[in-house]
Amino acid sequence: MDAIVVRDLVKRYITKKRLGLLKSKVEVVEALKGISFSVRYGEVVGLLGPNGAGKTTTIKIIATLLIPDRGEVYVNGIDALKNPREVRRNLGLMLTVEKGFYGRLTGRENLTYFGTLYGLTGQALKERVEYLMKLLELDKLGAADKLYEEFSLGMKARLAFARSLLHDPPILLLDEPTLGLDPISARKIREIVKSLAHEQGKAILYTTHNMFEAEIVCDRILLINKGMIVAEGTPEELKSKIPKLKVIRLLVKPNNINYEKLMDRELGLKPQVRNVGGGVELRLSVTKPEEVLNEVLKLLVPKGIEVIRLSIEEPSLEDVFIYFAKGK
Amino acid sequence: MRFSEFIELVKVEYMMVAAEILRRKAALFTIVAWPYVLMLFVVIIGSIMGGFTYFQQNVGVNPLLFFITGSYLLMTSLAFFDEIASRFLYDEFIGTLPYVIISPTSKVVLALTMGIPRLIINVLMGLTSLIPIYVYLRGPQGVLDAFVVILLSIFSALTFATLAVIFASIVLISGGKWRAMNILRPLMLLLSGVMYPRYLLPLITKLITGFVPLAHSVEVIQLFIRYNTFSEYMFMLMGIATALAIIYLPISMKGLRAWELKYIKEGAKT
Repeated sequence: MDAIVVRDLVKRYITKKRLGLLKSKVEVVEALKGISFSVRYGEVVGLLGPNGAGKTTTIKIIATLLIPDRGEVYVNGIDALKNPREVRRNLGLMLTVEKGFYGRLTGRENLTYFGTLYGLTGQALKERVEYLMKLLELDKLGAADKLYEEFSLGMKARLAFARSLLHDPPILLLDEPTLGLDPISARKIREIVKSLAHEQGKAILYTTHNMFEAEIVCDRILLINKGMIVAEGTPEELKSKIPKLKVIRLLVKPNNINYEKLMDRELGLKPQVRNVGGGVELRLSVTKPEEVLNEVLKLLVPKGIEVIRLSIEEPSLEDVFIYFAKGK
Repeated sequence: MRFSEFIELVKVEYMMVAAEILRRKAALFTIVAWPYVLMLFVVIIGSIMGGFTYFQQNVGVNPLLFFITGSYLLMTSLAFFDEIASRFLYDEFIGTLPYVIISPTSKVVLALTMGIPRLIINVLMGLTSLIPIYVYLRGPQGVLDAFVVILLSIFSALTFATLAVIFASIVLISGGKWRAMNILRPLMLLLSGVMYPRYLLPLITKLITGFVPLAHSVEVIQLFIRYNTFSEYMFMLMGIATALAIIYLPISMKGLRAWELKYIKEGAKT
């Protein structure tokens, strides 16, 4: 049995767009356009997409915090739309890292409070809270007896993750759990996520827009864009779905030229541009690298632009995402 | 839900309220000082209109005693309404509400447990706000009178709890929220008869107060501080308050469920 089954999920939001002091226009935003997928026990599935792609909407619907306009959701075999209360017992949820706790309570008190809401009492609650504080190293960080309002972002994220595990649910929904975190906290959370799935057999749905993270944490990735799943598979499978795609990477100088504008105007190419140490890095995802490279060099060299480094590489997950997000 | 789980819930709610009050000295000071501040405010305004003797002739009670009891009662009785409505709004504001909503705990049980710790703290505050003035005005007998008033105020708060949940649901369902709370609170103040005896109210308002359990229990307290004894009429009022509280229970449950459904339909805000 699959842990999560989502079929033909549609969600529309009705929003009011202000046109002036008294005028407004009603707009319908289609957040999800009939997405379907499933998550098995023992795997981490990444829901990867840009802001506004529909990741959080999907998580909220599965978590019974939002009612869809159409579609079916089954959690641990239970219909989430008909039996939300039953579904909630099977889920651990982490929505945002920066808030969601009581500022005047300490880390330990906050976990005790939410643990009680989840039906844990007495010694079992106490032991679970202590275990989770140890697991997330909250005790080492001094967060156990510190007021939540004095927490760093890393501590807040660890506490939010600990809360999602309080009642030891078989399924976890984690919405961008490492967003804005320091590398140590982010790594700690990723490590635990992987071990929970692979060693304890939990099913984990993990949203992120960090390609690097998706590649190292997720067993399977769903690429979501504008409310649709545009591609699905393991990171390797996704890369192999665009076999002809290669990436040209150039390190050029000087820095004061608008390369994006120049290449778009002259060659109709849209490179990813970023300043790096020693120059500007240009990345181009293309199917015929030799031809494009020839044209690019013909454009840059006569203008006195120095090409410091040049390589043709296999695409990364980021390139795959951009490829699918642009509608191939 | 087992009784032991209910007690655990009350304990953690108490931990929350205690942390909120004891870790904020200003909040602690406000709770202790509030009945005095309100009493003084009403007495000063009242003195401009009339006088102590005029009030005592009309109402039959020393105004200081009447208003300190009224202020204390207001604080105690509104514990449920304030705690439920403002806590869920606060939960929404700080982002804890989605986690509260998806917890398997019944929201009605949670709402009712939320008020209990605040009630306990307010009852304890009765020792600082009621006893000194009662002893000052009535001598040693004042200690006993104050304790009876404290017990009656607990009764008053408990019988008002279900209607408070309905009012809290209205606040939560309405789009205005804090604005709705600001309208409902003074309305409750008027309808309870805490600051203005029921029998002096206009007929329509008096009829409406008949449906408010708090108004009946407040009348019991007012009669007690006036005559210092219990009559059959007072027991009847207590019976009506209890009956109303029971009648409002299913409506309060529906009210909170309606709010929960609305919250989920609109989508939990994070």
